[in-house]
Amino acid sequence: MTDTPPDQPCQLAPFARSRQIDDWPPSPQRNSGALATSNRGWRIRWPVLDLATCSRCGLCFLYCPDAAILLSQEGYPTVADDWCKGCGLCAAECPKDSIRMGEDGEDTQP
Amino acid sequence: MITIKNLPEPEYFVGHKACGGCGGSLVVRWTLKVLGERCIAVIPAGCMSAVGFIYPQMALGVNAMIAPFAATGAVLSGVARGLKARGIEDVTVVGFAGDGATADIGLQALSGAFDRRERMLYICYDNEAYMNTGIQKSGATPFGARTTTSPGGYRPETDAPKKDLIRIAAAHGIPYAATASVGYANDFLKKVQKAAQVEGPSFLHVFAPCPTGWGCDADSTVRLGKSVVDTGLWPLVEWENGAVRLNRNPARFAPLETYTGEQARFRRLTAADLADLEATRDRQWRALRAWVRESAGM
Ligand SMILES: Cc1ncc(C[n+]2csc(CCOP(=O)(O)OP(=O)(O)O)c2C)c(N)n1
Ligand code: SF4
Ligand code: SF4
Ligand code: SF4
Repeated sequence: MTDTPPDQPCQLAPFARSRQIDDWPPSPQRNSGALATSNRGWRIRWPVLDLATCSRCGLCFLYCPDAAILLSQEGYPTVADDWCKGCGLCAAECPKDSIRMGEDGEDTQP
Repeated sequence: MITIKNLPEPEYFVGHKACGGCGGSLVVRWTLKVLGERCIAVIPAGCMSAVGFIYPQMALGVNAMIAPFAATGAVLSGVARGLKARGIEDVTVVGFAGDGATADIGLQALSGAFDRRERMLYICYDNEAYMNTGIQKSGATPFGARTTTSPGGYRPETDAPKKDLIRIAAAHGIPYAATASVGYANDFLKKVQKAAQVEGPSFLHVFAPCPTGWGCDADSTVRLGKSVVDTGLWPLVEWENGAVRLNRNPARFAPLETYTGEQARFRRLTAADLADLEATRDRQWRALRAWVRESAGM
């Protein structure tokens, strides 16, 4: 890692670079650029969403311990590739059964 | 009032390295969403500091520091006193400590902090063992639970295997203390907001499942957070300025197996054990209801 002069904004360390910065939830870390390393690779499954049956209740966003569910302007969930650990909580708690735990890498919004 | 319907969007606990489905990490994430950026967090040695402070990165989006294992209460009241000395009034000081750090090694520091009456919010996320060092039994481990130091299932000699933290806090005469569970999110969010408003120390004791230590599915965290309350094993209690209230006071409880059956740590429980557990639960509820009546002057 290179030294950052104290008066410069914090630079991303190369190993900490997130593949999808746009997927970051709004947070002070995102603004600062001091990101944690991705948790991609922790999971073997991840959520596959059926937006046709989703009621936009937001419970998946509420219960994800990793802030890996982002809600769109319209209230529909998307999954953050960097943070989802595949725990399955969102799928277990979705009242509409709109979430299925599919293979990691599968399209989350088929 | 913040509820599950209007939970603020900013995230202050993201990129952390907790196991998938960790209840403790949900407690930290929700609390910081409620408290927002003007907040200083103190986290002692334990899972939440190990997974949050990941040098040279940081999973916490608020100012935060690690306290020595036994010192959460002392550090919290010190930070609160420091803010006061600098005339800063709009910053909430919050602690997130495990059950070992609270019920056992940090109890003296917590008692001292309650006594000093600084404005601080102490949250114990209770995963019912020393998880970060490998699932050793703590003063909050329940009857029958397998840990690495009670491999056959914890079988205490007394009726009260878990230290009664809410009563210990209330006995200090602090303005606000409550129990909560990750299974009842609105109740939890309401209590965090109340606790943060209080002038003086407040205390929350939160049920926080640990899939790794309990041998349950990673997706069972919220389900267990509900069933532990519905079976009567985790009463939702609120102590406010000397009055006690039961947030839930069911006439009948759900069968214990709906809670214990999902966790490998309870696999050795026999039918006789479950009957014992039920009798202990009923005794504790009688004592709890008597406490409510007594506090109401009845
Ligand atoms: C004085 C001292 N003793 C022991 C330790 C080692 N230690 C670090 S974390 C931990 C267990 C923490 O358990 P708990 O407070 O229940 O939190 P959890 O890990 O379950 O989140 C222990 C024993 C320490 N850091 N300091
Ligand atoms: S599987 Fe777990 S980590 Fe992934 S989005 Fe769902 S709740 Fe979050
Ligand atoms: S929990 Fe289910 S129904 Fe609710 S927003 Fe998420 S996917 Fe949609
Ligand atoms: S061991 Fe338990 S408490 Fe610790 S991070 Fe994992 S799930 Fe959370």
